[in-house]
Amino acid sequence: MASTDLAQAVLVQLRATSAVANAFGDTWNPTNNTGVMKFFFDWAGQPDEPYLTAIEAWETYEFMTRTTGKTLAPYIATGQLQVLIYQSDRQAARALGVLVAAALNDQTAAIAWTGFTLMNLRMARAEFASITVTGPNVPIAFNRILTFDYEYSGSITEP
Amino acid sequence: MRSPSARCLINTVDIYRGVKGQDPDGGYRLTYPSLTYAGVPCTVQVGEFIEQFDEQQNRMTQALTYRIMTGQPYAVNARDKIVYVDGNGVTHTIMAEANRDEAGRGGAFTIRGSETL
Repeated sequence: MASTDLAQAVLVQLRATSAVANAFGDTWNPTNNTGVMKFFFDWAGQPDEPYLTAIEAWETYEFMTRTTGKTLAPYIATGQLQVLIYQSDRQAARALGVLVAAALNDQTAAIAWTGFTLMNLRMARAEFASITVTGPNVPIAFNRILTFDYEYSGSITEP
Repeated sequence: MRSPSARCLINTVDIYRGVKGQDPDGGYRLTYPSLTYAGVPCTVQVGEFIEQFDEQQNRMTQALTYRIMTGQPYAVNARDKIVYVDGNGVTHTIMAEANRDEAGRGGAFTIRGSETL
């Protein structure tokens, strides 16, 4: 089934990349709603570490000139996607980040959703956030944050 | 405060001392290689229990606070692991936060801990 938006396409790609899915322990089947869910957008349910949440941080739009009499307004969207990885071990959090970057970087053909064309997706920044809380069944948690730049083309219909 | 009688200490917990270390990346690491105190007689009381959004971990969390009272002092440090199997056979992993000698009289000791789900 074709993805309908960027978020779904990214989740599909992460789950389709066995190295990433296996490292996180994600076995979620979105068709049957079965398995273990480790990849989320915006916020997570109640997963054990490791897991990740992704955020569409922002997008800007550059609209092209419409052809006279046409209602379709094409545009190019530029934005950033953040992937926040939570793991109980700092080195393991970094290693998971490398796997995620490899799964997403330049995968413009695999990360596809209906009506749009992804032109660019590449990690631009990585950092560790400072957190001190205990996680479920673990005494310590670390947070690796990856920021990806992306660009895609699309269009909307205007009256 | 008097020491609690054996009739009150109807529960048991296992306590694992957290061994401090560092992973090769410099991250603080606690491991629990061995059982430090087995079958500690105590009474386990659940305090605050709440669902909340954990902003640091960007996840929904069920947070439970425990008070575990014993009649003997146990050297429990923050983030030592306490394993408690309740009457229904459900295993709870509790992270110790702090402990105190009630009223400073050496009779009753309370460990405060938390469980996140």
